[in-house]
Amino acid sequence: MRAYVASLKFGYRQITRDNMLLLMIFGPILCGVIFKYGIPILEEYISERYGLGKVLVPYYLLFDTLLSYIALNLICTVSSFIILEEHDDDVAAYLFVTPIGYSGYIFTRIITPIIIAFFLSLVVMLFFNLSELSFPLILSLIFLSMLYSAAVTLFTVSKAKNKVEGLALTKLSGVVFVGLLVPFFVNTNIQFLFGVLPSFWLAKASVSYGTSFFIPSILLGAICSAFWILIFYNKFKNKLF
Amino acid sequence: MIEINNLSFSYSDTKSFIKDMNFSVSKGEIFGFLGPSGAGKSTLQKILTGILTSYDGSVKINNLEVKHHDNSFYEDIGIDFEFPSLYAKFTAIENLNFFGSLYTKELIEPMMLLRMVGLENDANKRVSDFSKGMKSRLNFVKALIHQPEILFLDEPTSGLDPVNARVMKNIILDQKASGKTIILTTHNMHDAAELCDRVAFIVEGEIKAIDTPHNLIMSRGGTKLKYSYLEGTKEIQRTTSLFETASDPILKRIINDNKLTSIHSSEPTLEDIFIEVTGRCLQ
Repeated sequence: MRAYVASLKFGYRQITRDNMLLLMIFGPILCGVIFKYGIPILEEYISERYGLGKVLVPYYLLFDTLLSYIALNLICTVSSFIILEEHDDDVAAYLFVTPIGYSGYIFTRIITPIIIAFFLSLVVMLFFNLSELSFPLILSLIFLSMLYSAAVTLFTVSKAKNKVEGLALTKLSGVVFVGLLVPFFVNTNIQFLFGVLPSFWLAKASVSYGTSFFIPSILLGAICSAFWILIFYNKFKNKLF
Repeated sequence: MIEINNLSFSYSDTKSFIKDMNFSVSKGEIFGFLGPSGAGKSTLQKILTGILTSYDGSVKINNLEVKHHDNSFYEDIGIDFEFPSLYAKFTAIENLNFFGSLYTKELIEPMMLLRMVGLENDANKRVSDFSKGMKSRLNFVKALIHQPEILFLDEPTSGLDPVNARVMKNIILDQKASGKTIILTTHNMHDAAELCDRVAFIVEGEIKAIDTPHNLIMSRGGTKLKYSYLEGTKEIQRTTSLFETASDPILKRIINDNKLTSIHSSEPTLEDIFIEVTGRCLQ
């Protein structure tokens, strides 16, 4: 336990030494404020400037779904950058032969940040959601976002050789975001072609809330993310050893 | 302290990388693994330190089967990897304080460790500003901070100037004197001959010979005496074992006849013995 606490404390110190990581820690709240107050202002501006009706309001649920993921993903990205830096410095392999061990390393660098991100995301969603979402829906979205973020974190740390590559891969993984848009804009069964993307099921759960497809969406989303987590976890483990 | 019986290990299903190894290391002993790159030294060290656990046979450290270890196993083990594993953005003292904080045991004062390797004036300098040799020295003392019973040292003097290499070797001998068991992995036969109580020659995952450096050298005839003498106008060179000089009739005769033109002894190095035993070079 002593080693775990020491490792977590040092992880925090690593964040405080890096301005980019420090900014990313406050990112979820910053995004929450921008979404909550910025988007309605933008909506008002577009309506007045172009004399249109409500342009963005129908997509408030999409913004909320996006926020649930962004809040979690930012914290997970911080942890993946710490892992990549420790891999760069050859420290990760050394920590496995200390009282932290491999299991402790995974716990302090992947599992703990995800748990922290889960609760931070919960707070952000409760205070900053636009569509007055119900608590069960918020919890469901954060649960799926948590698994989705874990898969993206493992993808980044298993594929990137260093922090610079990690940054590039984090941006590249944004392509997967397209799955988030599909359930909102595609109404036919073609949308299920995107079912391999965890982001698709996150959005599908959002739009299905209150229907019989809500629980299946959550289950299929969890299975989809678990599949990618398993693949990238094994790749990450092979990289470490 | 360390017992290895019928150890085999493979990275794939088809070919064994470590083949049927058997040896033991006593408490307070410095034991060296000598072998060329790719011989299996690092794999063996990974098995002994619990990184690779899918081996066949038995590997026991302090009567604990290594594949069944928990993380407390590392409280008594110190490892100095060949390449430094340090946080580049943090200072030397911050690195030592962090790594020390992982252990429950009583620690050696970090400044004392830095003094031991001449880094006391660089305690507050970032590791990213250290030279390669400074990183090696800091990496080495990092392995000592929790006063481990067993030390695994991988090429500890690699890349160091002669003065700092001497400092490191003295620390290793001090550790042995205080009862620590040390496993040394190296290409450097001079270090091995000087530091190790026993060495194992490892080639292609097998132990080809295991003994004290002295016995290995003596087993191949030990020190030779080379001499030359004049036979008419022709100079002839001969070699004899140092222990057989009294029974060499030619040497006796030419000494009596004052025909000796040169004489000197030559001792084989551990590397010579390694090449003779294994048919391979150490590099």
